[in-house]
Amino acid sequence: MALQLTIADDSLLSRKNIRKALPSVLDATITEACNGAEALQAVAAGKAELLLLDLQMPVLDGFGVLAELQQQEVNTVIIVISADIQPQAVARVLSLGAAGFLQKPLQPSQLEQLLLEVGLL
Amino acid sequence: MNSQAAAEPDAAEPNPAMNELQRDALQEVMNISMGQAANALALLIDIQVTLSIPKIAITTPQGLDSFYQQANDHYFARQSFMGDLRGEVISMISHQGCAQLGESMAYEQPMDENSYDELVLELSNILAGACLKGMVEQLSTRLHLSAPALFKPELRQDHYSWQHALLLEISFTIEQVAFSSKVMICLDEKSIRDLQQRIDTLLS
Repeated sequence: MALQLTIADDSLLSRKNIRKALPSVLDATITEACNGAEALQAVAAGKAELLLLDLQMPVLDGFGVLAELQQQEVNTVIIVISADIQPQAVARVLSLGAAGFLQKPLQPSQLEQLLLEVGLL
Repeated sequence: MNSQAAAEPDAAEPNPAMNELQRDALQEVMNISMGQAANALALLIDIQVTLSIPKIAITTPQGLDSFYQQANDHYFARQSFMGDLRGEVISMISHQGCAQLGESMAYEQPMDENSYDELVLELSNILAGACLKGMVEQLSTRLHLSAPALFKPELRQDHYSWQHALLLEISFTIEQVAFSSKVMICLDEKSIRDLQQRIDTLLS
């Protein structure tokens, strides 16, 4: 069965780059979200077994999404893909329950490696 | 009169507008670049830098006046660049917070006027330099960046090499020490068209 995957990023270019970086062997049904609120809707609708999440987004940012999902204790694997690569941001993201952090511009090999580590490949 | 103006290629397109896709892509490119710049500074001072979404606008030299009006409590430095893209990058750095940053960056205390000048040049090099470097890498361009020079906006008499420019405004703040800085990348009209082509390549 295809994996339910949501890509949450306000930038069209970035969503496109993430799609391109997905390993070809990954069988996924992809939903796109343009902000944190849409990302939460996608999770609630069961469309995000895997959530690829940007941090800087309008309406609700990635940190807000992580905090909300941590409270809901939902069963979603979250990988943050962000331009804010400061050690403090990475630490905060991981403390909020993200399974991993990848920096932009996204390297396909790093995404594949992380997906292997979390057991989704 | 009008027909004459229209005959000049630049006058025919005084406001090289970007479409929404190009704007989105450029914003993402700048986002990544500013993330790298903030990280370079954060590693140096061991304090987190807050990022905001970069602003993109078409401007004229007069459009910079609103920034220059803040010369009472900000330092200014500029660097010109040439190569595939031509223009200049202006760093605006708040007086506030500089003393603490100087301390974190191991400047001898107490700092005198010379060491403040040196600090401002170093900060502009880190922030503006990393912003441009990130942009260059993502757009596969080549640029030569000159060393930064301090300037006083009220004394700036030189002719601008551009009449309309793409202004990429990037803000960094460090709440802990009330520091704020803006990096403004100004590109001339030819470079704007060149940039648009490179962005279209990125989007294809």
